[in-house]
Amino acid sequence: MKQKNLRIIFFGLVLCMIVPFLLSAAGEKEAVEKERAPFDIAVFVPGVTAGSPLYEQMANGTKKAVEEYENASVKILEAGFNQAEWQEKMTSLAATMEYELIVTSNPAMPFIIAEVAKDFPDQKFLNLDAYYKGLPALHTVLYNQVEQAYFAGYMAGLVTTSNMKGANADLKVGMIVAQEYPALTKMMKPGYIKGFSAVNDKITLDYRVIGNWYDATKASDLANSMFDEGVDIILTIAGGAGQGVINASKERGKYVLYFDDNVYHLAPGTIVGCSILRQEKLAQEKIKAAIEGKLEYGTAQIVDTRAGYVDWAGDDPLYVENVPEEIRKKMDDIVKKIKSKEIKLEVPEL
Amino acid sequence: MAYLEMKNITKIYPAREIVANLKVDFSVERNEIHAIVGENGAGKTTLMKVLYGLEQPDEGEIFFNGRKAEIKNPMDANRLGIGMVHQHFKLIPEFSIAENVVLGIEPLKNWFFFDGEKSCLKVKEVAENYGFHIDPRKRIIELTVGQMQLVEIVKMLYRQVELLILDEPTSVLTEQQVQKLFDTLRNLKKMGKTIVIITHKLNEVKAISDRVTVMRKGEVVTVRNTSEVDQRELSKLMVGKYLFFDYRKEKLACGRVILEVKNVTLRQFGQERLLLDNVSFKVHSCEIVGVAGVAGNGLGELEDVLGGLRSVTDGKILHNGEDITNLDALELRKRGLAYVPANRLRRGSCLTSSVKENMIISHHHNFLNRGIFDNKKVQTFARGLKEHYSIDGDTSAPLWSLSGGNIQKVILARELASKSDFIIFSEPTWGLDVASSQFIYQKILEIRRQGRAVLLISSNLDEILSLADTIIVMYRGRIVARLPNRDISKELIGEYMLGLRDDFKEERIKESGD
Amino acid sequence: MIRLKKTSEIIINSAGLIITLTVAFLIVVILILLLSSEPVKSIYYFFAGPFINKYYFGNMLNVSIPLIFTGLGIAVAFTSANFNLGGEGQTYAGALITTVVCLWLPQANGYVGGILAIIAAIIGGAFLAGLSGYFKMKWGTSELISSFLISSAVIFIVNYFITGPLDDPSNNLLTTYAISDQYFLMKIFPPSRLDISIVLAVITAILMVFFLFRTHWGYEMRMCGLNREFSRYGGLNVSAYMIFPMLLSGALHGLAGGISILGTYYMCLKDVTAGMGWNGIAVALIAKNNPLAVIPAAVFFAYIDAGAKAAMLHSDVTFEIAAIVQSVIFYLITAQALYTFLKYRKRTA
Repeated sequence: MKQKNLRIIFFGLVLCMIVPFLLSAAGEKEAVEKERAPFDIAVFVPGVTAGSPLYEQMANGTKKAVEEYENASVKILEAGFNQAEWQEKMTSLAATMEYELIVTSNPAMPFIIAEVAKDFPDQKFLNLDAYYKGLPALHTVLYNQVEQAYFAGYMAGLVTTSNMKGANADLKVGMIVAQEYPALTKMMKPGYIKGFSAVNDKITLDYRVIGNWYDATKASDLANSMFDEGVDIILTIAGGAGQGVINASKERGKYVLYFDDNVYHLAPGTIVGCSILRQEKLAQEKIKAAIEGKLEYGTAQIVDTRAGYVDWAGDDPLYVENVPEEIRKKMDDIVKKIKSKEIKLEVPEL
Repeated sequence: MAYLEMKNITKIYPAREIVANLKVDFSVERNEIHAIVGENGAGKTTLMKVLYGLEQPDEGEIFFNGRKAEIKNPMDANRLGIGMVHQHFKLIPEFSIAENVVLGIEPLKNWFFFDGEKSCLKVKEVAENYGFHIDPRKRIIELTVGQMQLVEIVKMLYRQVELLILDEPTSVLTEQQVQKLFDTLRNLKKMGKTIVIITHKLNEVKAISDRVTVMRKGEVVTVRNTSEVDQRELSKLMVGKYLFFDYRKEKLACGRVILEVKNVTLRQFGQERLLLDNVSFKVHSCEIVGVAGVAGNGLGELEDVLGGLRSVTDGKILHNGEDITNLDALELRKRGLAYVPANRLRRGSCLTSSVKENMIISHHHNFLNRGIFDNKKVQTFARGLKEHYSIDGDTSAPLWSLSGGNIQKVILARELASKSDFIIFSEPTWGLDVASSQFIYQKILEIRRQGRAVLLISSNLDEILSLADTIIVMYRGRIVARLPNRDISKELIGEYMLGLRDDFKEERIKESGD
Repeated sequence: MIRLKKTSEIIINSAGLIITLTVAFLIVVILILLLSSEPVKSIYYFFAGPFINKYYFGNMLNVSIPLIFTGLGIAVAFTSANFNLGGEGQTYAGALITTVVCLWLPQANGYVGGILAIIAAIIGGAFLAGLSGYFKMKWGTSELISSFLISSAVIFIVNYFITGPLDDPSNNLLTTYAISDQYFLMKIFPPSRLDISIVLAVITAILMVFFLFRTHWGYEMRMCGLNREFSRYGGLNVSAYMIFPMLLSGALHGLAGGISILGTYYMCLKDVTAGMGWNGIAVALIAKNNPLAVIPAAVFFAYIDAGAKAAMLHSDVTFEIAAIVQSVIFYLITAQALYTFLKYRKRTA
């Protein structure tokens, strides 16, 4: 019985595998023709686009750039949340040999690209939101996120010392992050601390790690326990899990600061500040440079507030409506000081 | 047209590569009792399964009550008024008797909620109408084989079917219960019902049926009016060769005591009644001790205890003078016990394993070479047993592909292959055809001749009376009679079995005295 | 009794599988036709993708390695009528344990340390599954439920270690520190990720066949699983064999996790072994619990995975469509295999 079953299964599988082999000859021809197409770009999204502002901006920016050139095309590829699969998927993408350039965004990706480049040294990469030198086929652009976090920190300091409705007497501010990684521990956290300390050096930080990018329930539990301990404003850098922080704050009448994207409309009055990155603009410019052959591979660049890629979303009507004028003014001053380099915030060695 | 007509029925089991029915024509007249006889594997049960919707025929059609019947499943059959009592029980062990009996027809009574009380009462009522005394609250798991069969019969009687099929209904019943069942069947007939009864026992055919259909190897051999054939002719038609029914034994002097059971008592935790109550007896070499009793009176428990599957509460069991009380099965087997259990499909064999794997379970250590099986040795051994016991089936095939008689032969072959001096047979021929039973009787007599001791536990009185040297009768866990098998009538044993006689005192006092 | 030399049963059996496969693939084609704007290309890459270059082909085989181990783990438990639903947790724990041992012994010889790490993973997996077996023996709890529950808890515990005490803050991913490179298993098919452990997987499958069908313990284990009362009657130590199949099953799952770390990932990422346990069940079902058939069944599963990935990379099939396609095939095949399996059990019960 068993022997027979084995044979049948084996036969079936062999059949499944042989047929495509016969077809594959045709496929190779197709690939050859494809090579003549001048500039195909693949956008590798480490995660999913929906709900992730930086990835959305990267995709949109790339699309806009591609629209300007007739010979260029773009394919968006989502690798999903399982980080264990990213390397294999990135390698597979490089192995297709179909794309002139692979664009991605995430500080983790250069290390994966470095591995992939061992097998596919000719593949060109553009990695936004990351810093990596010395890989000839890779260009990285890093945001000065010390400045970005400084804005948030300064705002947090202003709010917790203010007499806004949700603010209390405790000098405590919060920060909830999805996971710890170098950009966070070396740029964002110190930048945030510098920011609120500049307002009042007695302010202390309540800092929590969720452990993933999607568990909104856990994020909400963490936020609630922080509010219980006297925190009145939280900066969330936690992707989709951030929604939990927003919900908890709404219920408790507390405040949230958001990172990377302008999302005041998600919870007007609760979200009182957004430190944003202009990734769409950056992506569009870099892709255009790449298509025109002007992108300097092998180099790493840092962009900051002065260059216009990091900013404080200080002109949104919902911000104007919900934040007292006094605080807004102080924020505008700070943004100016950062732009003029009156306050210098250098990006550390990552 | 007859009441029931099955035309040109062919059924092939591709898995077992067996043609169970080949172009079978079978008909039953309204209001008759119709017997189907045939050896195991003759296709009787398959034919009835087709009728009951448990199997779909590959060919052929069924006409019932003048109309063509499409019977896809037992529900269809029940709707038409066809009911069946199976040889192997279709009961849910965890459910109570009442729950099993009413299962599937409560919705017809418009009960949204299950009415346990009412079903118990109704079931009890139906059972008592037919002379069965059962506690409807008892769970099936607590019942013995005999009681389970009873529940099956009650289940169909409860369903008020018009055509009742009974597959080997009497195999576990006592003589009196058989008579009672037959009375019931005759009553049912009077009430206008039609009965098909599958059986091996030719005297029962003669006793109960109006007509008889004889099957052999998947085909119908003949259909006769019962009054026009005698048992010898039927048996000849069934097996194709002449069988004699006389198991004459040569006289052998009984030797030393092989097994001694002393004041063994078994109490189930939390129960008042003793399952075994101060049971004492001896089995000598070249002696067959027959244990008779109605199911539920301690026979099963005695089997469990002696087979090492259940510990006694009190008392001793000695084997060749050594204390073997409460040793486990492995230890007992090492000391020379062999055991053919009553529940041969669950305890006696593993249906999903191959025939040869079944043949070596109790002595597979003999085939090992540093923990690895010597396949050649196993194969040679299995082939040897297959030849010697003329087992019909491949030794590498799963056991379920064999017929009931052949499965029992596999068990027998395995147990007799060990060097045992004490062998328990429990219901060894239950549900088997005449030829297989004959074969087993010959084997039992053969091991007696070899000087081994045999304990034969059986509810079949003919078997006990024709084989045993000493007969023990058990009633409610007690030994109520111990008689040498000389000029004993069936009726006397029956009276002891049913507790009608309780004049057995002296032995018990003597045993408990030491 | 008349015996027919007929092979109809075999035809029916295999027809079932082939029909299911055909239906599954038809559904895939329909889905792609509906959802893709370049269906021909998508379908081509879905079916032929795993074969168009060495890289894809090798990766497909690499994906099949842990599935062979987990499939074997399920199959051995099934053969003795034990259900191990805790494969996910046991595999994940095996992965973490291997990583931890390697991190503890950063200077050790690659062979010695690697073998130690794998043995630790095997013991860990065996312990987790063995617990369920022990509970079954002791209190008669269903190993099906307990193994699942234990596994679910274990996944959270492993996650805690990965994102907590063992987290590498210098790495941008949710992961432990990386193990040192003397532990890496040899790559045998560059540039793909296929490593030498595929040989181990095949050897393990052969050993399992030998173990189950030729050895004393295999025989007793199968008998005790198939019919407890019969085994007790036959004088086997039934209670010991309630734990043993689970131990073995857990050991194979732990091995799957450990091998994934040493061969493919080199660090215990969060959810690194996700899906291996469940897919192992499907693999075992397709293989009808035959340890040798587990190999092609696992390769088949990897093929579907690789096909979906290829379609995603080369055409406009998205992550979601690929996932849907995989699930459809998974459910159809599992349902078919489960149906046959249950029917078989019913018939022989």
